[in-house]
Amino acid sequence: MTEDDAGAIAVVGAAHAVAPIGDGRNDAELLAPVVDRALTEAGLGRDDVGVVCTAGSEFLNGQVGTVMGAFDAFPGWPPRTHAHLEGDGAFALHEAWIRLLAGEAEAALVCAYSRPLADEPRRVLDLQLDPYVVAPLAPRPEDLAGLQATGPFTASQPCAGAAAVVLAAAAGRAPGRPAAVVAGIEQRLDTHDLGERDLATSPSVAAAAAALGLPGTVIDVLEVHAPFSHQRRIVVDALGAEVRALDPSGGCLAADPIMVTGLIRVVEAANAVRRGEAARAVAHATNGPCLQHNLLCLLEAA
Amino acid sequence: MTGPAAPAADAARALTPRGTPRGRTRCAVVGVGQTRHAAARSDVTMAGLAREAALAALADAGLGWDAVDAVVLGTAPDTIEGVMSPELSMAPALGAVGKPTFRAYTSGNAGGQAATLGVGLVASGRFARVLVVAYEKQSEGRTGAVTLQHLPFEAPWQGGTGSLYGALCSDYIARSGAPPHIGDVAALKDRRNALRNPFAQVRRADVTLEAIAASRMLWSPIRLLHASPSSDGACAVVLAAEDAAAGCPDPAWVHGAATRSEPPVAPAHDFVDPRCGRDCAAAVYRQAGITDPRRELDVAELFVPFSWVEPPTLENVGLAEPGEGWRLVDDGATALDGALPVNPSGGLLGANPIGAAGLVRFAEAALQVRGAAGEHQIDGARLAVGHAQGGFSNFVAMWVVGRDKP
Repeated sequence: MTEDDAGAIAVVGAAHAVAPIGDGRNDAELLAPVVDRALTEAGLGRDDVGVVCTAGSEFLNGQVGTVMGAFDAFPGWPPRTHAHLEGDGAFALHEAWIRLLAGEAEAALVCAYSRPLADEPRRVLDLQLDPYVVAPLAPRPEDLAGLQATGPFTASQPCAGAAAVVLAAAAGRAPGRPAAVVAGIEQRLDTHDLGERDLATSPSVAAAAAALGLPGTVIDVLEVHAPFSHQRRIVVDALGAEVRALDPSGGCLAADPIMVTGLIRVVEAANAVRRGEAARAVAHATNGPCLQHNLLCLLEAA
Repeated sequence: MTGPAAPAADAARALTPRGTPRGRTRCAVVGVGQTRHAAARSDVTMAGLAREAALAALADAGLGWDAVDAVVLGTAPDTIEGVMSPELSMAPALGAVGKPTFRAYTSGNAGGQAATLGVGLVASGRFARVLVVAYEKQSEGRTGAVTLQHLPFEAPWQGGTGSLYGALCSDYIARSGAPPHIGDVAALKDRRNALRNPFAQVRRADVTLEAIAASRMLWSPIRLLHASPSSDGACAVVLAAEDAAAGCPDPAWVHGAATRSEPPVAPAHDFVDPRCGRDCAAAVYRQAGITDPRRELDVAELFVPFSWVEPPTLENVGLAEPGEGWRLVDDGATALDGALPVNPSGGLLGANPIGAAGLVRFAEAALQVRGAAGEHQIDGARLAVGHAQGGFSNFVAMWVVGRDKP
């Protein structure tokens, strides 16, 4: 490890799983094997994790406070620093990374789970829209994406799923485990009103990319969270970098566990680095209508 | 270990984590704001309510929207108002467009969790100024949604928050031998205090001990006048790294901040005296260098949604010996003129905008050490604790703030 890496945080374990909607498993049952796999890869035990950041959606699952039921799957006893957010797991990753940078612990676990109740889980996303003037109209996310697309597009296939990522500072790592250094995470929000946005571009991706110094550089692997096929091009264009392999994992069209999908992009990008297939990889995650909130995570070989 | 403070927003963002020393940058509370709380704030939207608090906090800090490097929004559960990921639709109202925006969600604890996340953002050295906002608009939602809880392998649970706390308080009485009038004394204290707080929603000068004791039983031992109201309200604080706080008048300094959770149905989970609360308190007191919290702290703002919850909470966060919390209440030690005033603002009995209520406690603690709490100011307060809790008392967040730099 170079002196430069002394303060760096790295992904040392990353796993995910997807499942058909309605296969009978609860959130904890979906999440537990994924958490175990990520911790085993990292060579860490449950007690080594000082910060846990979780993400899910009570609207998708059809019950309040889904995190209460997911507790059995992640390290929770004895009590530790834990934060939950309603949204994609990649945003929980950002919080975990910040908490490690702030010195709150040496290792963190990030978990996301999705177990949609409805046959058409994407319809629930109507509730992300302005509650007074837009949500009552109940436009489907597909309808809004249609405003953004310039031609035919393909929509992803929602499913159930879970993902877990172990982050560790130098002092929190087990020796000899492959690591992908988190060289930076940036996220930005665009405005909510679709009428105020140029939907063909993504200022928030461009701003996050600029903050990470990506424009004009070469990225070995880019994993994009684009639930609608045309959105991939918008993200790549806004990034302004030369991309050698775009979505080598296959992307998220075939399996989209909403609120987990963004964290899975981090899992795929980090594992590409950890397997030695990429020296520099970027994971993109999004939340909100037509790519409103975007996050970029830059991962580099240790 | 103290990392270098970020001199300005752009410089903070330019830092690369490779080679950045990890550690805690000192954090100050440079602005505090809250809305007028009411049963129904039908004059504003949800975003308007949150913005009202944010504007007040920025004005208090003497800062504009441009000075903010990141926004944290706390509220929970989202199902109360039926708005999913509210940071999306509220982005323009919160000045969050083009900025990193974070979300905190741990039920009644959300406001406290949001504040501790804000401290973490500043401590990481990557954000010079952070706006933390929390809100709840119960009049536009259905708080009964919380009964949709269904824990794995448990029978469907259809109780509300009140029935849950009724069981907690009954258990506390059985353990401690607290006499029946304690809930009345604690309620009268908070209701009298609320009369001094211009932001409080419930300000009834006519309430007597007798009236409280005779009020309708809701969830034994909790009576109507032991209970917090249903509220619309929001709160905001502006946090700043040490260098960025230099130009701001009258900061309060964060001496310790922590959040702890534990599983809600684990065999070891003690609903009345949760270990997450004890551990969280131990962590913030350790960070703040406090060894005798009851004597060293000048004032406490605790999350007490029903008056009967004050005694077990005092014990849980180390402000009373086990089984003795009710005696402090009975002796008047937690009254405005007591040895350790608790909830001089009136606490949740004055207003309970659930997702914001935790942040209001944190904000009130900051106001106290700044000497800016108005009619409910505790004279000479230099060190204060703010506390929030939620879920099945399995989420706790706390901070200790001081007049002096740590």
